[in-house]
Amino acid sequence: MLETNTPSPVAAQSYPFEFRGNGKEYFKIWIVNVGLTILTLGIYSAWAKVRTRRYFYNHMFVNGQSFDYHADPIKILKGRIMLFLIGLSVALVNLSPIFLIIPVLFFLAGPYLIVRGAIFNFTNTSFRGVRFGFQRAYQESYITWLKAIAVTIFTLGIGALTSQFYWRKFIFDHMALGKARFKLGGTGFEFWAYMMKVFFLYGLGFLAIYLGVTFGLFFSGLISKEDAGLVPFLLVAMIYVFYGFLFVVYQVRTAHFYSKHTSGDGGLGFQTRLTLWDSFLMYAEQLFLLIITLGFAWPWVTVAIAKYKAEHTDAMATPEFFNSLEQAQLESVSAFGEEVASFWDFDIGF
Amino acid sequence: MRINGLLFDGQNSRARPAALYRLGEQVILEYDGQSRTFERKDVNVLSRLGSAPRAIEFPGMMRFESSSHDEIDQVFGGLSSFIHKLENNTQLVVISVVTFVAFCVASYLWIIPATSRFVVHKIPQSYIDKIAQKMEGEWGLGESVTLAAENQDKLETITSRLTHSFPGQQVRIRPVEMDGMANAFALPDGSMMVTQPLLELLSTDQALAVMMHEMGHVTYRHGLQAMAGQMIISVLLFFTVGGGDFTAIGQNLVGLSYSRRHEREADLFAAKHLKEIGLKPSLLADGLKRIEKSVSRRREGAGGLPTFMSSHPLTEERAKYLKELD
Repeated sequence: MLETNTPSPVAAQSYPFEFRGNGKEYFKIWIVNVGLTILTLGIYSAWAKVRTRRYFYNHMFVNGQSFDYHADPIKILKGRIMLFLIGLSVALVNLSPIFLIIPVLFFLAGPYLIVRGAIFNFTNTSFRGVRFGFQRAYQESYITWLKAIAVTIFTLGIGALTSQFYWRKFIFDHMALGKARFKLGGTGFEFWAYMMKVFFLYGLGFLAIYLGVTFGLFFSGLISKEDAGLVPFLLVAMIYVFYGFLFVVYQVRTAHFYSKHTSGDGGLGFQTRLTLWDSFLMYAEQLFLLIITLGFAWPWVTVAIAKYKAEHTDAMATPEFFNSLEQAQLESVSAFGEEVASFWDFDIGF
Repeated sequence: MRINGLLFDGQNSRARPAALYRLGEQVILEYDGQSRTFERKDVNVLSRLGSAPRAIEFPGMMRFESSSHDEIDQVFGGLSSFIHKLENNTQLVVISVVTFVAFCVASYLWIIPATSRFVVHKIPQSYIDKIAQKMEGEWGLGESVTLAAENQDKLETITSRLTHSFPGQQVRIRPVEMDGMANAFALPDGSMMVTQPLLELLSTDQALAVMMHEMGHVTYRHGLQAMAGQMIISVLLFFTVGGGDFTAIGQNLVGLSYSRRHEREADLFAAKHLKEIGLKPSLLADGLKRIEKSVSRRREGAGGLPTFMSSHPLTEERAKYLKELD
């Protein structure tokens, strides 16, 4: 006899992200931020940071509701001042080598600060009135740190890319939305192989194109010996384009790998529809805009990129997911870790 | 006036239809068939931001969201949206734009150069020596090379004439090997490097002119200025646009522009001091041309880069202004 009384799981549906900001609106916010930051000699930058984040979070929608950011600018200002003072104190090293202890301690505190930064960032982010969160996973942070260093050293740098995965996994595995947990599957090696495969192929392709173009120009007589000076220029120009191309490859491939391997409570998952060529054209267009406006298109560019990424990403979840998130206990930490992390360009976020 | 919106009770993510209104210093919130009263001071009305729905926060992490911006402003007064008013005041936005452009131009023309000039003279010598040692290591400069007798003579003549031109300044020139290329450069600590092919290629006067140019870099501490400048730009970018992938390109281009400016400064410095000892500034141009020719023969030409992407002004341009100073 067949048993059919196991509850059939409700299928997860896809909910597209949608960014409803626009360039003109953000431009006004950005320029007032910059103006006030200059006029207050940098002090307003803490408020500017919160306002910018809030703008992007508030306009990022999924299933009809948007995100919010709640950080206290005063805390961010304190974090910035502390970071600034530590930066200045590095100059003390000239007085006596004893002060070398400051940068060394700072370096050793890295994984601790990353956890503090993550707690600050996540607990100050909310969706539908429920805060994100991050565990006090100090030990795991140091383990991740050691793994990231080890994989770089023992492979003589070839495996360095793997450390990106370790950190991303560390963040995903310890973050939460209310009580809902997330998980990043896959292994460091899978990630590495997935990325290196295309880097290697495109690298070969680039070499072939470069050699083809230069030899082609020589043999076709388009470039004479006297004009040989153009060849290095051509190489530099092609390297720039190729570098940009690899940047896009990195963005698109990581998005695919991470969305494929991310899961969470309530059937949560992600799906990306980013494609390489289309993304490359989008970035090229935005870069062009930045160049011809001498950087003044910055707000439009940032908005366009956020819009593009949102349009090509779906959250996968059961319909109940959105109504069943439960608030968890909140932690309160200083913003110092977050400031350090953002100065290091360490990306704590989604 | 009633404001309609959604309420999240802070316990879970369920959205409930809700409404609120104000009675003097009290705010009344209605949801799920109940009505709760709060003191105005316990209610946090977030400032308006673009077109996003706006949140009103109640104790216990309760959150009321509504897109009725004008009604919220009317009920709670305009104070909460002071910044939003700035953002929608065309005059202020224009003033901000002008401030920002002026700031960018001023940073580029004065703030960054002046700050880096100021900073480099405050850096203790011991620290500069450390940087120079590190650079020597990174560039693999290694030990001094033994020069052929006639090149050794040239170098000694140059050193003594430089010492004569710059009394009180220690002139340190070290012969090094760099892929067999004709080259000379200055390190941040004030020591200068020259390669054997350069001494071979140039006449004593031409080589002296080139070393005068390097003396210019040393006197103005250009190497350190460039490092300080890059740091200042990083900090400025961090505060204005928060860094990012695109800004590195701009930062490089600005750095290159300062580098070209430094080269010009060093050229003019050399020209001035050459004239003082009765030599023509165009000697430097002749020397530079020869070096460029020999380097481009070996590398099939490095002169192909457009000006905005190269660290030095075009040699023809340098030759032109040096000739004019003769």
